[in-house]
Amino acid sequence: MGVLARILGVAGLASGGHLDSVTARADKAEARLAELKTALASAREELDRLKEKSADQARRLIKADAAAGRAAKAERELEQVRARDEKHLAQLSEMRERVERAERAVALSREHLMATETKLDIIEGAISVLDSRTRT
Amino acid sequence: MSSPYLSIVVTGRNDGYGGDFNQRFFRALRFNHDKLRAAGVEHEVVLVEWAPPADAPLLADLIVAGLPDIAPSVLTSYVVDPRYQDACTLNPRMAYLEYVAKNVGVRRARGRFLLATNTDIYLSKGVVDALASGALEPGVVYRATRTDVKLGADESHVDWPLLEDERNHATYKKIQPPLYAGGSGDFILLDRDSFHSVRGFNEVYRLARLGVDVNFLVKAYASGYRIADIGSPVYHTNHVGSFRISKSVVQNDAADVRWGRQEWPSHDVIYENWDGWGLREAPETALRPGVTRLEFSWAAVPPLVDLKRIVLPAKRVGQE
Repeated sequence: MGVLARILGVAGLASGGHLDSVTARADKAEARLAELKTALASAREELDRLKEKSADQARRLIKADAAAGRAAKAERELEQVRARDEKHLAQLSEMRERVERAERAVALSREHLMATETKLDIIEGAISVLDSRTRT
Repeated sequence: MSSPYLSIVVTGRNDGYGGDFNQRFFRALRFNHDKLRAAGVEHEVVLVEWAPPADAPLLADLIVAGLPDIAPSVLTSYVVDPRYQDACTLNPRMAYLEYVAKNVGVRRARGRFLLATNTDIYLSKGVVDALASGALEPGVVYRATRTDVKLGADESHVDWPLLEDERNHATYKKIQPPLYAGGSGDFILLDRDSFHSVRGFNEVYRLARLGVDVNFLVKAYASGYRIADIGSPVYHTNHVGSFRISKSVVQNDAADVRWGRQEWPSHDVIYENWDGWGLREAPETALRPGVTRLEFSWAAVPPLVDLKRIVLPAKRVGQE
């Protein structure tokens, strides 16, 4: 810095070159400020989006938790139904066997009944024959 | 005397059964004999003249007069004392113990194979061919579908084209496994040893004619014999009094006289005939060549009641 500049400085003044230089720096700073403002706005928007996404995922997580709870419950219920089903199947199988045994017993009884009826026919016939022989 | 390949066992008597019984019998006898002879099938016909009426000539004698070339070379007749009908029956209203009569023939027939049939049955060409083939198997009960030929068809010159002509057929019911039942009394063919092993037709339950034939099939099936369709029909000429024609019009007492008890468990209950089945113990008197009279003897009469011989089949239809 030259003598002139020091003199101007003492008087509280600045040279034109210095003023230009300062003005340029001020302009640059202003531009930078605008850029930063824009970036800040962008960052805010991004933050809002992330917040929204986070909230959405939190909601989904809550839903998923609820679904998982329901699924576990459903699985427990399914197990219970399965257990009941197996019990019913066992009962059904036993019932079926009993019905088959009963059917065999009925068939056998029916056959014995027919054999008995046949024998009764024979006895009745014999009595009839003996009766007619006695009367002649 | 050598044994023929086939014995045809029939029963009948000169009582005009079904109207013109004798002519129907003679026509069928002539027809079957001619066809079998032409095919080279050695055969005999065993006629059991069951309880013939005292006031009519014997059928055996009428055959000699009407078919001299058949009797006595091919025909053997057994004339059964009428007292056996009364002594054997368990149904005094039933006039004819058809299957005890057939057992008399089955017991005495000499053929390697025995065909129990009726007097008015015509063998088809297919049946004669099967017999002539010599391919029949022992231990197999052969059955044939019965085709009824309409009343009014010209029977004076019966031959296969007439019988095979479907326009002359009245009814036709194809027999089905496993029993191949249906008109069974018209055709049951089995080797003699097996027939004897089964002990003939049921003569423990002597109250019925209907169902005794199918009862034989049930017993044979239960005893392990195979039953098969011989593959060709036999023909029956419809006549007044046949069961298929008359069953809906003849009822109650009249039906009982003809066919005996109609409702009995012939498909479910079987029998084990006594050792003397077929009147084995009946004393025989030769009347003339080919004609034998079975004299009455209580020793030949099956027990009136023999309940232990009514049994249930070990093997039943539907239980393979």
